[in-house]
Amino acid sequence: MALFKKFSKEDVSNLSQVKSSVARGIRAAICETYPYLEQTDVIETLIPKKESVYLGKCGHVQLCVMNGTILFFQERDGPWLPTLRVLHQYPDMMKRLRTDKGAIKFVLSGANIMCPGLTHPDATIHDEGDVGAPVAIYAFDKENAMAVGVLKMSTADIRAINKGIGVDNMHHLNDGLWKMPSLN
Amino acid sequence: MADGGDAPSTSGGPTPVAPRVVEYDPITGVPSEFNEFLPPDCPEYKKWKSAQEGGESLEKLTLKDKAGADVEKLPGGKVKKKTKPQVILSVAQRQKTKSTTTVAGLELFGVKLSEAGKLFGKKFACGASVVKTASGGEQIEMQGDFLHQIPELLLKNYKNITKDDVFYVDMADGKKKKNYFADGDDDGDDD
Repeated sequence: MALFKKFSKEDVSNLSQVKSSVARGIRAAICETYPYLEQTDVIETLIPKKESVYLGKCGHVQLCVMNGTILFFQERDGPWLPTLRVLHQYPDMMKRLRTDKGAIKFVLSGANIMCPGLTHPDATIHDEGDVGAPVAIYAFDKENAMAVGVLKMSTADIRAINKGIGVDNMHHLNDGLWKMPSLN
Repeated sequence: MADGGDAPSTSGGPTPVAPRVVEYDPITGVPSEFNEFLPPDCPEYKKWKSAQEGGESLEKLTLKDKAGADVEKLPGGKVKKKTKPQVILSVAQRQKTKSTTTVAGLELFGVKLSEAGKLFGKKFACGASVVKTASGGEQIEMQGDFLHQIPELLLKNYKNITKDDVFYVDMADGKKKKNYFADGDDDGDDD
């Protein structure tokens, strides 16, 4: 479901600096989800140890904000997902799935990614994953990621069952979150 | 194969990676390869489409310069208000000598209502709060009559509010809105 369909600065009810223990917790959670960030030390560039981390809250969504820039977001207790701007900078941080061309306009309107879009001859499942794993959604013949999602079915199931929602679309190009990279 | 210490795949030391620089289209803000796939009802797509056709008049129509604040404010796609943004002040009687001043329309200029409310309260040593109106909008309500002091303060503090944008409800005329700074001139539009 399109999480940030209607999203603007007013929807962020609370933006506060967090204690370093909480910041460490967030950092650790992100490193666990994305070992690539730790191996390449990118996590230090994104969330340096010394600097203050701010947490924005809007409904059940939390935003990890550094220097006014939104880096990661988390829905309820799900995994911390990077914003597309961050993902574009470090495309190797997440597993990739590539849909066919026909799915693009639906994904950019916030639709979830259906299995047939991933089993299409033009589509590629670059990396395997299980339910709940965060994935980057690419499109056939396109260089940059267009969406960030969470697997609703394991990649094996997607191939086998080929029906229903494969990936939940959490954040896509030109949604509310994309248009608002910075908070005062 | 029997190396000393440099096995790059193990944690011998983090290998730094430079961030990829991705170019976003100057008109739409997304990578150019996705321009044609944007939902047709979003403003970015319209801007890109009209730039493609090279029609200048079209571009002016869709951009809505005067109400620019409105178009940006609601990225969900709904442009609620098509009227020019105005700040409307009105004074209502409360009890015998007491009255309240209401300031509506500030959020259209990108002003944070809670901050503005606090500012008014401090400056005029009065109670100021943000209340919701029947139509769903919000306005600032102040205890006391400050009709004449507020416009000065607005202009002084908020650079994007100009003299033309301030209106007040004239008690003598009932519901008519007059431009505050042009008494008798009636510059403002009555939408």
